[in-house]
Amino acid sequence: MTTDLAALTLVAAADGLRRRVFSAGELEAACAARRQQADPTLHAFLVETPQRSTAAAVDAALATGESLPPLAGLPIAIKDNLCLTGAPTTAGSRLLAGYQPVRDATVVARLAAQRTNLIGKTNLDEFGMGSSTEHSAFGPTRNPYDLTRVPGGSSGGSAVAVAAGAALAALGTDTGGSVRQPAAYCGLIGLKPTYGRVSRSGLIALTSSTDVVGVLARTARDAAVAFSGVAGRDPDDATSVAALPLDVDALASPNVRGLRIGVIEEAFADVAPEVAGPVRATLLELERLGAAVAPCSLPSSPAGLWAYYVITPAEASTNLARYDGIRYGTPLHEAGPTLAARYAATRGQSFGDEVKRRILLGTFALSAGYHDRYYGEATRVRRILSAEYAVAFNRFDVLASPTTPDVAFPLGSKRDPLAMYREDVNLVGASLAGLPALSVPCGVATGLPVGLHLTGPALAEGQLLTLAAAVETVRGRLPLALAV
Amino acid sequence: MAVSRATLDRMAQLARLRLTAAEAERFRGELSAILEAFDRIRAVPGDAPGAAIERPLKDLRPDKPRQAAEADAILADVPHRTGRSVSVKGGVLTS
Repeated sequence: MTTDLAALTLVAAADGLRRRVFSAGELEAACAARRQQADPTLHAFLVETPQRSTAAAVDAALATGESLPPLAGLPIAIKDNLCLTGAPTTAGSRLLAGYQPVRDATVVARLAAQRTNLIGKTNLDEFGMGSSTEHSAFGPTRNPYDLTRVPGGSSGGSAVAVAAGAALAALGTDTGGSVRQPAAYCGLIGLKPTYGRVSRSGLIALTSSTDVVGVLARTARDAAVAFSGVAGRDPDDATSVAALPLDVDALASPNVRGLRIGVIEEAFADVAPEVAGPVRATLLELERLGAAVAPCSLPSSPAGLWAYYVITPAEASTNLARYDGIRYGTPLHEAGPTLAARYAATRGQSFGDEVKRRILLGTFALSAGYHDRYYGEATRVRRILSAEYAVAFNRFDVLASPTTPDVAFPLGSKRDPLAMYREDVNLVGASLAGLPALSVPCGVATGLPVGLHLTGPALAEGQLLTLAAAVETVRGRLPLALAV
Repeated sequence: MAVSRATLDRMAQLARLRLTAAEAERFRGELSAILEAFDRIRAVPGDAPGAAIERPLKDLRPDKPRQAAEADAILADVPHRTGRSVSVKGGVLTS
């Protein structure tokens, strides 16, 4: 019974709560049991947050017949770069160890307002910089389908929490693929909404022009429910937008007849055959359901990877300048009498290698004499690529590609930074253009999950989730990793 | 693009990062390789959309303040005004 509850979808759990089949307390206990059993090995969580439990309150409300919001009482994990009061928020960094936020991020506050059970903060690559969750200052997270492999990153902790049954869904953040790639590696739906569709207030910034709060869930309907619970205009985020709500119930019977799907040719260039196979087979199945599938070209998409890796360090070097051991963190007084010496020593000792590498790259790209050659060119390519997407969406409703070039790679196998960056080649384009995108499981290769990546025009989350739900009908759902 | 040690040290100083000698040398090599990859973006042809729309400098008016013809019409909609000035609530910093 306990494991069964931890394996429920959000939709099924919400239905079970309302029909009083089980209690919010039992649901919480089931996920907690999975956490206690599996997390010493997986290390998905950095801290648990029992002080934010809503199980008792929700059960009391249900006992009186009170009508509750969709996410009430459901155990959801939060990536540890989203501020949540009552517990440290570290962004996976030694520099922020012990940092206590003064307020919840807007997305956290919205979930709390719905009496969602916020069960803990999950591990991540430091400040969101990475594609493996190996760059956390607090140790790596392991893939529950193969403990010798990475879960992806930077939202690896959130992905593993959901895949291993320790949470029913999780919030992550996606700057250049950090929700979608771990979703692909862990057999989940990973939704990156349109830039601005979800508030960034209270998100510890990495790249302000591409950071988006996203959702990791077990099904398309679950992703829709969780997304609907956090999306919307926020006065505290001037870049946020309002949009029409999703029709979650329509995802139970997805209709893709007539949907025009463009398959990005460049996205298959360096993809392993065992990954390309399930992706192409799924697209054939979608054709049988009535979708119109045809090739599509985004000529600048390969260069988009490098444009992204100029822009993101450039913005990160600015965003992380505030972490000086004075406003955040603890200064190393022994470094010397000057502020400059203390700043440099604190940052030098407290940041991990990937963070320092990107800060140096970003500083270089913005510096006099190199700004036009690197940052100027990167923004030019960004705008060209965004225009190519716009042209493609004149012909197609959705663009498709493999999410990743290969299945989850072994821990410690990508020491070369360039090799790690190349993992994101099919993901960064949607980030640069601010477009919604998701990864949906489409099969298995060598025993590991494979993801199909779907990109839509702005505010097309409903269309993407409809297509993802259709993929689920033809490819089925991957069993959760409950053996750990 | 090869990054010199002097350039790397200068970037670390700008970024307020104290690096060990070993770190500096390692990052110098890594950055050189990464920047070489970044140079591929220069091979993408074409201008960014909208880049060709430029306003010739000769079309700019002289940089001298002038009274806007519509000033009275604009000021008529201002909720609080003092003469031809807009009044706003002051931000107060108290010690």
